[in-house]
Amino acid sequence: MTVERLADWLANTNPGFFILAAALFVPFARNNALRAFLMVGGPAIALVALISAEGLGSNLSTVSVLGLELVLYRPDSLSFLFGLAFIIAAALFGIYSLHRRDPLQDATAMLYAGAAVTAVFVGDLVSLFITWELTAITSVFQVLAPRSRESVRAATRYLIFQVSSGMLVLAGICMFVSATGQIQFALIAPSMAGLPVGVMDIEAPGAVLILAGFGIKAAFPMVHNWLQDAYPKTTETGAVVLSAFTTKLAVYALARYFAGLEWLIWIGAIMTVFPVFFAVIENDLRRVLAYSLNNQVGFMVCAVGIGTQLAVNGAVAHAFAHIMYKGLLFMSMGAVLYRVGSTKATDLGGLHRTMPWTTLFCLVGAASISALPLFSGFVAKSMVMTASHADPALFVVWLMLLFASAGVLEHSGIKIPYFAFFGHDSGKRPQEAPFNMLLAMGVAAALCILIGIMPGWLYQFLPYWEEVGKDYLASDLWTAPHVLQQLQLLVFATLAFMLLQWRQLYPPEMPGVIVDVEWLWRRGWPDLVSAAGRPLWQAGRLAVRGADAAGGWFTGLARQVFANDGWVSAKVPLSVTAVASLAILGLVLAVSLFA
Amino acid sequence: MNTGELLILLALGLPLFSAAVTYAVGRMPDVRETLTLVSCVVLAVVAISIFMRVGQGEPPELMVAQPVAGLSIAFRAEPLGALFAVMASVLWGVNSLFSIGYMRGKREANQTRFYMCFAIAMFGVMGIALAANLFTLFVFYEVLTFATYPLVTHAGTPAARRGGRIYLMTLVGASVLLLLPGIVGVQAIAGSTSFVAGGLLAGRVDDVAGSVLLLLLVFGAAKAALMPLHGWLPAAMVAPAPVSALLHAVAVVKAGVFTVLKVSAYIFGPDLITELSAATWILWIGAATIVIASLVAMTKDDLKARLAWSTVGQLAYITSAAMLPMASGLVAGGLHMVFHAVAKITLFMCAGAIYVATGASRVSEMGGLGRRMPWVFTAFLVASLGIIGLPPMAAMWSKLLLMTASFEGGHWLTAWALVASSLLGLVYLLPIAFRALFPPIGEEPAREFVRPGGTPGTAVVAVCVAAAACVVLFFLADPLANYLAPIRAVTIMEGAP
Amino acid sequence: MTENDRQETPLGEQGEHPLSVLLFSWMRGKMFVRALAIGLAIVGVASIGLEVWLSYKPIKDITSMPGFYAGFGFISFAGAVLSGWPLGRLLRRREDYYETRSGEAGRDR
Repeated sequence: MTVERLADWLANTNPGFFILAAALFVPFARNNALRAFLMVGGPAIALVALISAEGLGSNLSTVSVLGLELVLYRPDSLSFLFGLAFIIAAALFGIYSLHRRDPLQDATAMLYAGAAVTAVFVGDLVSLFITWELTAITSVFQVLAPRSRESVRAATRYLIFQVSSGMLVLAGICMFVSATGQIQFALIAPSMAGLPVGVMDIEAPGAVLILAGFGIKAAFPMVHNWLQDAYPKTTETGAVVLSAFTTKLAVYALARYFAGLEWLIWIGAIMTVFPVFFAVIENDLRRVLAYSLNNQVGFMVCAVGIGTQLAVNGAVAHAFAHIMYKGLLFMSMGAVLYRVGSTKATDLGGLHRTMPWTTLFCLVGAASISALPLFSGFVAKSMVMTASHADPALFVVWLMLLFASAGVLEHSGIKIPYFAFFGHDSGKRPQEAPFNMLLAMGVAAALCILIGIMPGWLYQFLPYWEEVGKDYLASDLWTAPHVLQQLQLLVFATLAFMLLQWRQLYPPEMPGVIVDVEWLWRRGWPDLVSAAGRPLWQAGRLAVRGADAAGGWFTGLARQVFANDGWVSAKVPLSVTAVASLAILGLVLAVSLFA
Repeated sequence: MNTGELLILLALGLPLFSAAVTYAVGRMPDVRETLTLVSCVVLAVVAISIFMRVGQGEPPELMVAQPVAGLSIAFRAEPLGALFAVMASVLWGVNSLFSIGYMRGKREANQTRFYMCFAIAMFGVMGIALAANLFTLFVFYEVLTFATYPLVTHAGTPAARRGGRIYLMTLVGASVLLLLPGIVGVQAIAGSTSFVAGGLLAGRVDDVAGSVLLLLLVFGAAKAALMPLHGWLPAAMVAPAPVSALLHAVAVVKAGVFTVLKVSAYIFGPDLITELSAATWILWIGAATIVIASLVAMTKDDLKARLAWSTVGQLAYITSAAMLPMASGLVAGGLHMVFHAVAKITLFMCAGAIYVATGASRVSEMGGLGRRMPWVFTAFLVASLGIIGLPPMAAMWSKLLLMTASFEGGHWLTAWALVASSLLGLVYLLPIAFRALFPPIGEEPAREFVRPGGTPGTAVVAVCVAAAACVVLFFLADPLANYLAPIRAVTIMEGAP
Repeated sequence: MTENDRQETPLGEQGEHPLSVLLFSWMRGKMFVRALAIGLAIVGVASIGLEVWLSYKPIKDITSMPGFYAGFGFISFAGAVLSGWPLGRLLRRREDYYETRSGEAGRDR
């Protein structure tokens, strides 16, 4: 009986809760074995719970709060892969961070992962908002953890963006609820034209705000800089966990509520293009990876915008693959950071001599992100490219995505491994990464290769496997022209690299920061304020003095009414209360005479 | 005399009795402290009993006196008041625990007077919470003002006395010049000042008269610190931290917004408020208060000043909520009254604990202190998140309800003021905790403890309990909202099914 | 990666990891880069050739032309990299650029 009940409970509880629960015990784990048990066990139980879910596409767990029906667990074909990827990422992070004991980082990272998994599987807007903000609050500790000079400021900036995202979502939800009274996505819009269940009409009240909120977290252009600002300022493990969740959660939210929205096509396309240029000249390799993240999320956003079944399949597959290979790349850079102390290209080079495993894994990640056939990026990105190519109206978009594909080879496929591990010899001979890091990287690399050579395993979980996935796998993916074209792209791009290097046309890595949009609020606004400082400050003081004067005038008036000053400065409470009660009595009598 | 009347008498008499006994045993500090704590516990039990009875539909009531026909001193518990009473008494207990640590830690003088005045203040609060009509409320409102004056000027310095003067003048002045005429007006129009479900003045006033009365009553309750009558709050910062915690979380400010809520729920009623143009003006002023107060808070280096301005902004949330015509407005206001109180009292108690332990009162001096006082600053962080309105702290629910209600009523300004206030709150509250808990490695070390042994134990316990309450209440939002629903006799979220 | 930069390190010196010796040491020869370049060129040309040989789809537009991806890949890559020269000059600042007095570091609240 109880086993049945346990199984029933397991099947009907949001998997994220298990990770959240495990996270609460992590600070109390005395030794590494227990820590490993919790940090991998939590996700493991979550996985079991997910697999044993009673059915996809129905409300499995609800709670009624304040007149709203919150759906706490509603897995369906769209969210399944996202959740799976998040769970795997959480477990990998657990293994990756075993080399150092920091209860704060571990616990908050697991809470973060748990919140993200929960967010993916809830069935309504308000629960999404709650978990959305939870991911924001828990992830900021990764930025605070290094305790460098700029930690607090970077963390505050990061949180301002994340909380702004949350507040916009909240405002949108409140508008939407006040107008329609509906929060469950299954009831907002039953599946329209084969799109995922829950797509909102952009004209609906509050929808634009919700889109804006999702967009900030997805690092839309102009509000993308928090990513490049915060991610390099974390510890070696911090960037790994941050890269896995926030942006992909935003992609999921966009796919759920705004699939097929035309704006997203263009926003996504722009997102794939501009980071390429920044990544070329960046010195800090983790910041290059942050731009690369932006670039890849652009593919997903664009695919969500295209909105056909193939495109949504592509977005989801790409998200899954991306979590694996981006995690892998950040892990390799984290290993370098851990052993060398820096990830600046100017400080690195020639590390393959003493860190071969890390190099190898990094190369696997680089191959995956470049979409080399037989690696995971190829099977995923192909669907996005095919979906955009299918629509002649999107020719320019397709070109932009193609450009980005070549671009990603540049910054992530070649630059990262080359300048860190090969290139000019920096003379540094750091030890190989600790075993737990290698293990985590190895598992991630294995997954990348596995998905690359046997994509059917991944494809069968895609939201539209039956409809378009099967056919695509059978007849479009492994066709000779397709593989040859991709091979050409990569080979000739690599040749371009070799040519540029040989002719010394490749811009050298130089120390320095690259100015991006964040200049506006990190330098532009403060400079403006200092320049306009004095007059603004005076204006501010005038305003405050004005408000105080209004209050003071009133106080003065009151003082004139109560002319008896001595009464006020009396020290002994009893006489004050005595006088006061007499005064009140007098007032009562006055009032009663009035009335 | 039935149980209901007994409970009310106890609720009122207990604090007075406690004050008297405190005076008597003033020379024996341990007995005095124990007595205070015992009174807190018993009062909380009484308040909870009243709370339960109201929930079961048997509201206790008591008629004490009727000096003149149409004017009476009477008490009647209803959901909002019962909730306020419970909140006040429980937080009095937490605050007393904290005060013990603080006052002993600083070896403050005049501790007997301190605890006495606290008890008399609680008497005033109970009277306000349980008042059955506006007149009774007014009487106890004034009692509260005068009982807290010695607390504000506790230090006895010229600066303290000046602060106390501003405090008293603003509050009493507003009461007498605005609130009282308003009450007189209500009496004249309606023949009584009783709190009636659905609104005493419903159908009796037109827009002009109603607006005038509303303005008089809302601004007259200067304890709600709506601009421009907010000046007393920052001025009262001269008081020691336990007083600020009580003032700015529990007793005085909440009495002010409670008055506004009761007035709008039971004197005007939600339907009448919809029609008054003054409600819209108050909403604009409320939105302006929220934003301006948050902006000013950012510029303050003194922690208590920063928290005081933050309170001004947060109180405007509740005043705005009272003016929102839609269903959730009043419930949101009531919930926020409680949730904000819990978060703010935590913050002020933290400020007091920091001051006792290290002598630091300015934000710029608090770098790195979190390493020495982890519990206090973690509680500060939790409460800050509550003020900002992030889950899993309870205030998220009141914010959600408030924003929904604003949009339903078409008051975009209020909604955006709420959003802005969250972001500003992030900027003026979180760096304090971050800088304390995560100081850069290698910078100059944090201040040393002034008091050997660091923070007093009871202070830490009080702070942690309050911070935990912020999270616990998150899960209790639904039952509390359901409890408050009868004040409008409609369901909570209106809109399409 | 010019030939001058690559050092001629004998195997096993400077405490190299044995695996790296196994996997990567053969890369350090001077001939390697040349061989790699030639190998890649062969693979690239072969793939274009294969595409030509296999092409059964009518050429609708430029993108179906064999060799399009090769050219596009080459040009995109070169373009992105070469744009790094002017962009770097335009956008690069010293490392403590954001920490000047008037920047955020100046006002620490």
